[in-house]
Formats: sequence, C-alpha cells, structure tokens
Amino acid sequence: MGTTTVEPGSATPGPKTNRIGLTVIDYKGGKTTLCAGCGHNAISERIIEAMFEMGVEPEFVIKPSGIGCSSKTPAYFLTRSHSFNAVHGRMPSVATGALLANRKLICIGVSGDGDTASIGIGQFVHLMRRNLPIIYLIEDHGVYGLTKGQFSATADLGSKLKTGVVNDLPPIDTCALAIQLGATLVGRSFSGDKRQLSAMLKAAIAHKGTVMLDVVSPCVTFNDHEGSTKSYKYVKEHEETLQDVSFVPHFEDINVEYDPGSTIQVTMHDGSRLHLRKLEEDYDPTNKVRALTRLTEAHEKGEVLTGLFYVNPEAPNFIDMLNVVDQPLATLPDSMTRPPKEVLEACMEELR
Amino acid sequence: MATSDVVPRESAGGMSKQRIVNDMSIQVATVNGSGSQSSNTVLLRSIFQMGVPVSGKNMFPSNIAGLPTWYTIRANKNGYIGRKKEIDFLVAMNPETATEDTMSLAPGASVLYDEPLALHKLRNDLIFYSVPYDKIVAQVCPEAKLRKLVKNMVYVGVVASLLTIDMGEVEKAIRKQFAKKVKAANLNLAAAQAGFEYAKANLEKRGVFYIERMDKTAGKIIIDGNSAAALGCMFAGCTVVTWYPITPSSSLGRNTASGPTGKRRSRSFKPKTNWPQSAW
Amino acid sequence: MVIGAGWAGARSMTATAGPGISLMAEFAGLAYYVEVPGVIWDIQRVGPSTGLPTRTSQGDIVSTAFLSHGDTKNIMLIPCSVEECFTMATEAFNLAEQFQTLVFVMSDLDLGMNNWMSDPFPYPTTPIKRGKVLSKEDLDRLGGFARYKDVDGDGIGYRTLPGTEHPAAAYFARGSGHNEKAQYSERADDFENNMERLNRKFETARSFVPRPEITKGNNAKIGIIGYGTSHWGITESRDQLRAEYAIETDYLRLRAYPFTREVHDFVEQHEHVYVVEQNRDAQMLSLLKLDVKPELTPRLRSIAHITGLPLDARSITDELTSMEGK
Repeated sequence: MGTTTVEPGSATPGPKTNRIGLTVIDYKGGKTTLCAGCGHNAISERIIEAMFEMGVEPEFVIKPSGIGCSSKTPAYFLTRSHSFNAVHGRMPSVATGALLANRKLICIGVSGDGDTASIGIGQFVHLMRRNLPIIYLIEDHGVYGLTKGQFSATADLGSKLKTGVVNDLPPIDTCALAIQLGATLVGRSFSGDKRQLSAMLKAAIAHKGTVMLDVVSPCVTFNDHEGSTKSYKYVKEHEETLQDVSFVPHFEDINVEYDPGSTIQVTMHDGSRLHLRKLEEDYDPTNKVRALTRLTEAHEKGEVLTGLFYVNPEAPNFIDMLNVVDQPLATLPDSMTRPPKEVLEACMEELR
Repeated sequence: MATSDVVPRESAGGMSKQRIVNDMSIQVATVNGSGSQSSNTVLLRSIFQMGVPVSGKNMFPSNIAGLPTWYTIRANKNGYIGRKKEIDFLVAMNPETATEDTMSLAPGASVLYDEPLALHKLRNDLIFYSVPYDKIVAQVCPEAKLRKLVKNMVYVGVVASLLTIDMGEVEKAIRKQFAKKVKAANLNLAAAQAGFEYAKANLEKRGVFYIERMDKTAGKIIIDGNSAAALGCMFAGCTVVTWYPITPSSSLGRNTASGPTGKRRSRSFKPKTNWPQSAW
Repeated sequence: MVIGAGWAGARSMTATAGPGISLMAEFAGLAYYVEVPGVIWDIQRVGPSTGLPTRTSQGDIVSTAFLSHGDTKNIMLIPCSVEECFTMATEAFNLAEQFQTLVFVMSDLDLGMNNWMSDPFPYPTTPIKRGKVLSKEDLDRLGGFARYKDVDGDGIGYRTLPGTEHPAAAYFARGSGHNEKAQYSERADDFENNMERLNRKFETARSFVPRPEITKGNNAKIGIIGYGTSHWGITESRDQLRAEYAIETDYLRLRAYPFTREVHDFVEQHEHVYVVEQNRDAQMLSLLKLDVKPELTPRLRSIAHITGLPLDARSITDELTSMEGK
C-alpha cells in the first residue's frame, strides 16, 4: 500500500489516507506565531508530511524541545503528540528519561543553534555518544532569535549582524561534532530545500539510533541580510550538496532502479532504503574519517555543505544496550516492579 | 543510675575496682586506605553480636588514600547511639595524628598505641597500653605485602582482651566480613588472635570500661542509610534510577543496581532497567 | 532525566548532595510548574559550595523548600533512621505521583554513610499508588480533558502519559504561562489562577505528608523540635535534662514539610520551643517562622550546630540550660 501527499488546493474529492488510515490533517498542529517567512515554518510542514507519509501513529510520538523560537515549533505540528518544552539547552536529558520510561515512543527533539551550541553543548555531547534513538533537530540560523538576534555559537567567523557587530569567534560545527562523538545518522539540510529535507526526515524516522540534523533555517527578522552567512541568499549562493537524497520506506513494495556507479544504497534497520545519487564527487557516507575531513574542507572553502554526511544503520543504540524491557514502565504490574516479601527477608537475613 | 557521659574515673596507675559496663565510646585513628574499614566493622559487629546497642561513625577526609581517618564506636546499654563528645578509649594507629588525638582526651581515658609512638610520655593522667604491632603482624603474616592490611586487625584482638569482648564473636564477625575470601579471613583471624594473646600476656587492665553480653540487639540488622534508601526505592516500585557520583550520595545510586550486599537479585523477579549516569 | 521519565509515567529518582541540588534548581522549578513527579534524595553534607564533602549537616533545608526562582515550594521528607530511609522511599514515590511534583528526601551524610542498628524493615503494604492518570478508556468516556483544571478541588489536575492511544490524550507540557488546557497563555488571570492552584495543591499536601512524632514529658512547659539525625542527640539530651536539671520537655520530631496541623499546635502549647538543627542559619526555625501565627514566633529559639560532626546530646543540654538561665 502506497502513500501519497496531499497537494494543497487539489480538487481530489476526500483527503488521501496513509497506511494507518489517517489524513495529513491528523498530523497538523496549531497556527504558527513565528515571523512570516521564518525557515522554521517550512521545517514544521516537512515534519507533518514526513510523519504522514511514513504512517507514524501520532500518539506514539513525543516532541521534547529546548527554549527558543525553534523550541516553540512543536506547537505547530502533531497536536496529537505530547510535547515537552524543557529548559534551555537541556532537552536531551528529558528526552533520554522519557525514552527509558517508554521505548515504544518515537522522539523528535527540537532545538536551535542557541539552545544547543552554548548552554546545551554538554548535554549534546553525551546525547550523541549514547546513540539514543532520537531525531535531534537543530533549527540553525546563527543567532538567538527569541532574545532578538545575538550571535550564537554556530555563527560564522566574520559574519555581521544588522547592527554592524562582527562575529570574531569560530563556529561550532554541530554535524562534525555529532559524527566524532558517535551519532549514527548525521546530515545538514536547508529549510528551503523541500525534497532533500523530506527525504532526510523520513530516513530519520526509520533510523534506530541518534539522528542529528542541522537544518539551516534563516531568521528573516535578525539574520537574513547582507553580511549574514545563514541568509536565504547566502545559502543559495554557497550551498554545496553532496548527494541527491531519496528514501523508500520498507512498506513500499517498490523496487527502485538505480545505477550502482552513481548511487549508493543504504539499507536501514527496518528495511527502508536510502538512495544517495552523487552530484559532484564520490562520497561514501559510511566513512567517518572522510565525513569529518569533508566537513573541515567545506569550512575552509566557505561552502554551506548539505546532504547526508554519515550513516551507520546497524550501530547498537542506548536503549538496546541497557536492555530496557519492551513494555512502557508505567504499564508494568506491581508484581514486576516491587520484589516479593521473601526478597526483603533474604536481604534482612544477610544484614543481621 | 541515669546514664551520664561525665564519668568519675580512677586515676591512671591505680587498680580500678569500678566497672562501667556497656557505656563507652571507642575511637580508632587510622590512615584511610589501610584496611582499617574491615577491622572497624569487625569490632563494631563483635559488640553488636554481644547484644549491646552500638553505632559506628566514620570521619574521613575528602581524599582516596593516605590522609587521617577516625572511626568512632559508641556502645550504650540504654540505646543512646548518637555521637558522644568525649572519647573513652583511643586506638592510635596513625602516627601523624597520634599526638593531637592524645592531647584532646579527657583525663582518665585510655590510649592503645603502637609501641614506637611512645605516647605515654605526653601525659600522666591517661591510661596507656603499648603494643608492638609490626612484630606481631610479622609473626602471623609471612607475606610482607599483606602486613599493612592485616595490621589493623591486631588492634581488634587487643581491644577485645582489654574490654572483655568475646573472641568467638570476633571470629564470627571476621568470617562475615571476609565471607568470600577464606584465606583473607583466616589471616585476619590469626592477626586478631595474636593481638588478643599478646594483650592477655602483657597488658594489665587498668581502665573501668567493659563490654558484657546483654540482649538488646536480637534480630536487628546493621545497615547504612544509603543502602536502606536504595532498598526502599526498589520496594517502592522505582523503575528508573539516574545518578551522577557525588559524596555522600554515590552509594545510593550504585546500590539500587546491586543491592546493599553487592549481589544482583534475580529469582523470578525480572531484572530492572536503566541505570545510566546522568549527564548534567 | 528523572523528569523526562516521570513525565512518561515511570517512578524515577536520583540521589545527590548540596551542590547537585543547586545545579538542579532550574529543573526543580520546571517540575513544580509543569507538574511532573520524581523523587530526589539529598544526602546533605556541609556546604556552601564544595564545603566539607565528607562532613554532615542539615544545611539544604531552606534552599530545597523553595528550590528554584519564582514562587516555588517543594515537599520534603525527613528520615531520622535507616528504617525511615527505607519506608520513606515508598511514601516519597506515592506523594510524588499523587501531587505530580518532586519530593525531596532530606537525608544526611551521618545517616547515609554510617552503619546503624535497626529492626528489620517492614515489607511495604501500602499499594503503589500512581495518582491521577487518565487512560484511553477514561478518555473514551470523558471525550477529552483539561490538564491543569482543578476538577476535584484539591489543586491536582489529571494527566495523561505519552503513548496513550487516544487522539485527545496529548497536551503540551511547558514551563511558560499556560491555561487550564495547557495552552500557551500570557493572560494575567490564567497565570494567577494557575499559581493559586499550585498553592492549593501544596496546602492539600499538609494532610498527606508524614506526620511528626511527638514524645511527651511530664507536665513539660518546654518543647523541643528537631528532625533527621538530630533525633539521636535530642533523645539522650532530654534524659540528661530530666536527670541533671529536673527539666521536663516535650519533643516533636518533624518528618516532613509542609508542616502539618500538629506542628502548629505544638508551638502554641509551649512557652519556649527549641528548634534543634545542624546548620548555621537556623533554617528549619526560619521555615517555622514563615508558617506559624506571627504572635507565636517569639517562642521559637534556635539551637544550631555547624561543626560537621554529628550532633551530640551534651551540646544540646548545655545550650538549652544556658538559654533557660540554668
């Protein structure tokens, strides 16, 4: 059974349903209060579509977020999923606790460059190295938006604010950091690139480890001007895309023809397939060393490199490593969570 | 007679006819990391096993090894197990603090010291007992490397002799302490017995404190608060424990995984999950 | 992590000491305001800052009672013995889930790391109570719910857990202003109502937290209030006071915060009330001052001990007799 997206304004009678019988409406959220033209709004739309197309049950999705414009967005998609706006930079710990308590949940953790790259960098490091099954999204525009446009730690050296202030500190590359630390699906996209972002989000949903997606998402109010390196204009002019990314979910019974000379196929844990058709260069996304080198080169060349940088579909994830039980912990009966009297008596005997 | 911690004492040197039974504090001054924890626990348990209410309090430095540490046992027939200001019996095993420890005692207290320290020169209003630990340890422990760890157990035997603590209980406590290591148990027992024999043959009891069997600890357990808390959480149906090591709470988190006795309980109870160290 | 797990329905806990409590402050406020259960053990040591990591104290009382910025109040349970460390664990989790908030169990180094004698622990017979959680069936019946609505008048709303298979189950847990339906709100009345409800919830806790233990002397005019491991020094001191000075005392051992009815009555019934504690700034006395009727506060007198060594009976006896002019 296939999936189809709903074309806005189409004349098709009755909305299309996905493999669990829901329409795209079932995945929508509230009305956005972000600035008109904000990149984050496009990301929210892509999330809605991806979840719909992948046939995810909204009640099993959780949307923890940090603090910032990025972190307000969970209100604008998947109303039928629980959200948790945590504290600045420390959403990873909340997400980790929630997944320990219920490993059936699909977690999309929404953060921003301000939220992650300064106060959040400590928790980010450990989240990446644990390979927790989470989609960690950084909606990245090089400034703290909600507090009115200060440089964040992902701002490029030499970039300029509207006020003329120049950033004199080098940026943190969250993708390179994620790869180095142990995340198992890492990529960068652009809020304006519908096709690439959709494919990456769907692969993210299928992946069983930590996904780190840095999505350049211009801040139209504070960082979309001449002098910015995260503006719509700058990204369009400097973007280097590694591959053309497409994704075939496991439940789609289609055998996609591809040319192994120009396309790499990565099979995900659940049988879904990522197709990466090379554009300018041979790039093997399963090679960690190559990924880190390529990202460093991109910095030196001033490229905004996008695409799928690294993937390891089979790495053990944190929940598996801890051997967490399948049932949500809240549903375990007392007989499983409270040892019987004999156990206490045996302990007492040992302590006499 | 109401229990008072201000005790009329015989002057040092005189024969003591007074007996103060099951009402005293013992302080052991050692170096941390020297195996003193085992001997302290054995002494505590021996008194406990004789039915006398006890408490044991550690005063340890923020360090791993080499700094002074004190362990204070209070035995009290009425069940007063809070800290007592005065120390009645000092076991001075740490040369570094021995002088200061001795000088801080009230008149009439007893001091058991390692012979080379010559503490008896410091005051004439205390009762001094001198023991050549190194000589005694060398006799029972041929392996030089192990002597340091076993030396402290010698004091247990000496104290048992001086305070009339039952050596049968000392043996029982040693066997419990080293339950999984029979060789170590035997070695430690030999050390305690050697200390006891030495004291019997060479030390004349001059103090007033005695430990005698009573019946106030029947059925009771000994446990630290963190282990009790860990147990409590397990029996409260806790299913997620996250923790970061910090003194003095680290053992609480750790014990939820393995229990206070160090064993993971299995039986028909499905093993719990989730003990990740929290990354703040 | 404790908060994430508690939000998702697990009984979760962590253990720490003073510096860790300070680090948790922002999250404590989040848990208070979003109303998520969790149990935090504070094994108190001498602070502030790194302080004396290997010495005991009861120095986190005020900071934990109000942990976080803004108007925050937290439930504290205070064990005095290893047995209470065991039994209060069950009480802590039950209260945390009943009140959908963090419960802090205030132990200390003396209790936590030293060996204590005890009767064997009793197997908990109190059932594991999960609090007001709506299931799929509940939602089918109700049609929907408002997360922060005071349906029962006790200040406690109903929550759902992530993963509940009903389209109306989800809500947005947020530390920012919200209305009864958990929707974002900056309205003055929404904020005020919510904060008043949180206060009501805390007042309800007065009836459910562990009651104090009161031991009466013979026609005593003087009262002693203590908590935690001070108990052991206090009980011996009371006997010294009786035997050596013919002073009778009544003794109330606090086992929780907020203070129950009995605590107020006790202060009212005694001319002088000595609050015995192991910190410099008379922290529990300060909490009592904030809580009891203003005209009663002059009766409260402090016996505070801050050496890092466990409190001994003689120090209490000496100070109390001195303050009584004996």
